[in-house]
Amino acid sequence: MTTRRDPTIRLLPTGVPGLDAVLGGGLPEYSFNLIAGGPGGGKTTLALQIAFSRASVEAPALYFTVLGEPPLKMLRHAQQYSFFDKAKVGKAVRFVNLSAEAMDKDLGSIMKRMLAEVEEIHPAIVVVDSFRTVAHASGSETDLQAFVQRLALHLTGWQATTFLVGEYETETAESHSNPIFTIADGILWLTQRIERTASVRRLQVTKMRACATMPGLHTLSLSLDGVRVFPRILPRGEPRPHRRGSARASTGVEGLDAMMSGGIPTGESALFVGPSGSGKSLFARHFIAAGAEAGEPGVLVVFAEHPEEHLSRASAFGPELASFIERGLVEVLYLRSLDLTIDEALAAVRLAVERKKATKVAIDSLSEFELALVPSSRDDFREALFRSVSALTDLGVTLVMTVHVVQSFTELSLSPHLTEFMTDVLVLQRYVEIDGKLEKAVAVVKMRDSSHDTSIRRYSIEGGGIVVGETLRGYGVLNGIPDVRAEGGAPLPGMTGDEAALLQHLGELGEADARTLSRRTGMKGATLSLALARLEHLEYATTKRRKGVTLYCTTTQKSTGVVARGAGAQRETQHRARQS
Amino acid sequence: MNEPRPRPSATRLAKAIVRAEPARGGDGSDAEVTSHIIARLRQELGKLIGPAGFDILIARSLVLARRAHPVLAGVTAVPGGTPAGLDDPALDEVALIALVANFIELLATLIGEDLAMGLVIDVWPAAAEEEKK
Repeated sequence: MTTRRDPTIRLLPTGVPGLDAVLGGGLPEYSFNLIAGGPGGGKTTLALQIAFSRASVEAPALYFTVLGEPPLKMLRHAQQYSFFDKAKVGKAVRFVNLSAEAMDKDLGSIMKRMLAEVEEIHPAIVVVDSFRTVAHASGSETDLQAFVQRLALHLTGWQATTFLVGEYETETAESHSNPIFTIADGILWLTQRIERTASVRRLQVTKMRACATMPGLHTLSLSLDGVRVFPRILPRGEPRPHRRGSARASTGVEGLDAMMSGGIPTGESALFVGPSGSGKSLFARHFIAAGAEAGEPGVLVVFAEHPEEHLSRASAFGPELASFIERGLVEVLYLRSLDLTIDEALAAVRLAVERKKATKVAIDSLSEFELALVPSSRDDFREALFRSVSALTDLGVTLVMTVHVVQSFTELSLSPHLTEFMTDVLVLQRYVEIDGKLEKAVAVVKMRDSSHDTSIRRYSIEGGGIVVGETLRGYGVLNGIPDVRAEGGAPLPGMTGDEAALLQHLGELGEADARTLSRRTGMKGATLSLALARLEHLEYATTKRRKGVTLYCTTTQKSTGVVARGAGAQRETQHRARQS
Repeated sequence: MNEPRPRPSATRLAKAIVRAEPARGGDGSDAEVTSHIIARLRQELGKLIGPAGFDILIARSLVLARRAHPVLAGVTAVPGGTPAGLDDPALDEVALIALVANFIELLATLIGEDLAMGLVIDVWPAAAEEEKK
């Protein structure tokens, strides 16, 4: 393990939620820092918040205002923040206006006044807002470098932790050549970006000497409580410590627990994938209710419906949560606000988990979660989701997420965005047509390092909730392709009904061109072309040219009255068998 | 239209300040007392809001005070210094109290009563005690 060496650098708590984590524990004492960024990014608010948080009568903060926001207006605005303590003004937080010296454009008189105030007040925190206007008073870059060097030396010598606040744009020539950037021990960039119609503020610590800071862009919010930083949550890179051997968290659905050898392994994540109306939310509620019944607190995260609406609707089917909420065992967290970054959303979930000491979390649903995010988080939802799963399972909770998929009968979609690999458990829900009825089927597609039932079972939604029934046999319920059986009952694998019918006609004609087949079958254009191409691909049919016309004929034997399998289809069947 | 008047607490504090100030020396004339008060306010608050900011508040306070006290018509703001015309014999204590009260009122309007009063009271703590009595 790496430990700090002498001289020990004390890390000061900033009083800004989330910022200490990004800084690697706090601000290095006596450091000389730059808070930089464009207008409206929260620079002054951040500096004021740190000053008011840190300052006391014994260790005051000295806040130099220069030619930025007029001090009267700054005081007027700053009082709206909850951190602003009127009792501290003039005692613990001393404001000193340097506008007269700055207007004289005399660096010498600015320095003289600043040093006089520092030597009189002995501040622990010094803020210069805005330093950009001080820099403008300098005649040359060398003058400015000498000024900053002397100021940094003096303020460190007088044991002050300093913040220069300045309007600078990232990645400009100035930000590379300005001596402030070289001399500063720490640089905090605050940016505000418009993403389509959303505005997102972010903080980046590009430099902080002697600190193990968190790299990257972190979301920053500004409210009447001041600045709050949402550190970018990254996976630990260590084994998850909370996996508790073979312990299982019940899904709350008896039949599903049986399919999963008892339930979801505790501390792991499960994704329930299904089309609209298939009962995903009900599965999530079963999961949370089962935990609460066993005395394990849980958090249900919803997005579209207000919790009251959600619970009201929920009371009609399945387990009701109201009594568990009253007993403090369940919290329904409503993340309605759009334009959240993934880190803001995760922070809200983490807080709820900590509040409830929850062991179970259900996110219902990822589809709505995605809509609640700012465009950049939506654009890279897979990364956002990866970090969400890691962050929540790192907390030790067992996580259930639901996701909506459009049910397709030509492909098996396990989840949108190819997210299914991120979770430990994958449960698939499907609609199937059985005997002229729309039924629901469920299958446990995967459970990492755990045995599970691979059968596809029918389930129904009844008054008490979800009831998992018998295994569905003899139906192609997952790929949606029906088992088409030819004359005599021999199966023709791989074909749709239309393709089988087309083959039947072709068999009767012996050979025919596309126009004849179109007249016989009623199939036209691209539909007919695709069906013929499929028959060729599966080697049920072949083509030949005669007088410039393409003729199709079967490769099948009719002598026994049974349409034999095409060679291609046979190969496909054998391949599938080998795979399984 | 009703003329805006300083809140009672501002007037009470201004009165207490004007009455407490002669004890600090000088000839005790109204003009001397007012000059002294403005100089002290400039020294303490000018540091916080800047000399230019202070000048603007004094100029505005004069305008507001004149509405109820036309006798202040001959008093004019001087950037960086004491207003001119304070030695006008027509000026009485009531008008000078109104000038200080309007200054406190204006400050309170801009930065809130608690903070404005607190900053002024820090300059004359004894006057604040007197005002409470």
